[in-house]
Amino acid sequence: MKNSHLALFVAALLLIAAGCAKKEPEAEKAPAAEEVAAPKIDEATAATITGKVHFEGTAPEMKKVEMPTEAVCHTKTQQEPVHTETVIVNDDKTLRNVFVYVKEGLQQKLPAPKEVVVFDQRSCWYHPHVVGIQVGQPFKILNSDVGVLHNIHAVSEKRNGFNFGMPGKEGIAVTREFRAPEVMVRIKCDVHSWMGAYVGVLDHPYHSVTGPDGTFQLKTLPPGQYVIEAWHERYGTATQNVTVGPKETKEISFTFKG
Amino acid sequence: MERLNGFALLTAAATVGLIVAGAAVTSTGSGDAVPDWPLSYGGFFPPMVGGVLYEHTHRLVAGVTGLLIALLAFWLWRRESRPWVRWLGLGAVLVVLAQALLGGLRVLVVSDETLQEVALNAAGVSHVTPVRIAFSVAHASLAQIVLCLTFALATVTSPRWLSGTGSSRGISNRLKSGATVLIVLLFGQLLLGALMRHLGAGLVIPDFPLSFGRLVPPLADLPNDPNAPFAIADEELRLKVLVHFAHRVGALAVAVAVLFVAWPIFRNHRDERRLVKLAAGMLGLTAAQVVLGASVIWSQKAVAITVAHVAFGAVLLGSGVVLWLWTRRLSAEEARPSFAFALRQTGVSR
Repeated sequence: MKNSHLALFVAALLLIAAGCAKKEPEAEKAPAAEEVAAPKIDEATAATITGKVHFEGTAPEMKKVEMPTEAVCHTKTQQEPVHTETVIVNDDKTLRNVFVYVKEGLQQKLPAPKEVVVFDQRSCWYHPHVVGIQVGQPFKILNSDVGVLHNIHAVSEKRNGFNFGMPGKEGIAVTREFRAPEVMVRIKCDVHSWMGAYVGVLDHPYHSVTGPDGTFQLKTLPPGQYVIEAWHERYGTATQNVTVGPKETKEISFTFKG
Repeated sequence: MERLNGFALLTAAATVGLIVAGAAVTSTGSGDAVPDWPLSYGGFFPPMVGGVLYEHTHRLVAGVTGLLIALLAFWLWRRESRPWVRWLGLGAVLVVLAQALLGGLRVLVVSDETLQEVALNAAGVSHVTPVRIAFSVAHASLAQIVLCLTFALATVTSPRWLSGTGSSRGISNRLKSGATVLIVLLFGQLLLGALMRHLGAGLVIPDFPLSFGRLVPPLADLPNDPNAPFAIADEELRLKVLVHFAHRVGALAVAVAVLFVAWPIFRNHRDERRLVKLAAGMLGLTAAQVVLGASVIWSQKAVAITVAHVAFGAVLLGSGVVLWLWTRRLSAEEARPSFAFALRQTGVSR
């Protein structure tokens, strides 16, 4: 829908004024987790795609984050400085926080796992910075900053958006679900403008986020041909076509240039 | 009536303050810092930190301004003899109420799932962004109408207006038409500015005074990276560039229109000090606006500069309304001895 978003804006102006009612396009509706077929992963033939995301060039210096408007967090950052996580290049020149996922090629939809993805607001910072999740999978949002008010705002171009306040009460947690595949949903706190994170929402579980070693792993894939995409918040996307046979493990790599 | 006029001037100043507060919300990206409405985090005084400070201050300024407008309308209703002025006051109340409602809807359409569902179905769109933009632009545009109404009320309740004295030479039709065209251009320009701001197209043309190094942006060949982290379609980029460029062309049209209106005033109405002051003020504001607009680009949308750009634009529109009113008022005076008749005909009476 990104392609038609601005054209739809004009339509929205006219239609709101006229009070017209139209059905939303069916294509935008996310399938409910309960509706999809039961998993049919054949462990005997399952393949794996693994690899690394490399970085070439000079890594930009990440700025120290100041939190002057929030006393509690400001004090913490004076003791333990926090730097932006936009570009983190590991010591071995691999890139962290790259979301790698199967973009095309899956023949079947899989039900959402019950496993909870935890997303914490701690020291006025999001943990983790980049995370993957499946449509319908529980997304548990915590506010570990006792005494600090956050709002948690998911900015979406599908129907994944939400915005609500989370006062810093002991043990507070809210669980949400995303409704439609979308790479990426941006999470931000409008109270604290420096807080930002990204959630990759898919209709399957084949995704991974690179960590301190820059590696990723997409396991239990049915044999087949896939388009694998790597997404980074500064350097954008890169894709590769990969074919895996039964029980095969294929290693690939991506390189982003700074 | 002088006290009434003083109060009207205060109200007009408050609407400028309201637009400044609103621009600060947009420029700092704080529009969703308070997800509920009309209360703020369930109360009147949430913790005033970060984005909440901007958003809740905007709400407080809006509340005070709304109250001032309501009091002004009440005062006019009780003391004003001219029916059209009384109705103008009442109109301002209705517009500011609609303005508040639109502001609330702008917030709730993002945070309230039920309202969002209704709005999306009504608009026939699949996600909230276009609806949010529609509400934001309508909210911003209505703010300019509120400002115009309060500027008009401050003008028509002024002692000078009421005394009806003027020694002006004939107000030409060219000047009167020019003043009308100027208001239309100014309003259109502010609407384009609001659309550009809420589309996130403020920096889509990264250079100034050229556009992508040319006089006219290369619409058929815009630099669009399909592998950008949040890639957009070519047509979306093209629309954003068009809106941005239209705002630049609009600035040029407004500047020409201001000169077109100011020139006959300086040439033929030097004795009419109020017109000369207005024309000079508008020329100064226009020059400042061009510099501020350029600085928005060069500073990558520095908050203070962006807010000043919005505020100066609003004052320029308000000044245009005042000028328009005075050209009508003075031309009505010229119609003497059938002055009273002319006033009745135009509706612009004492």
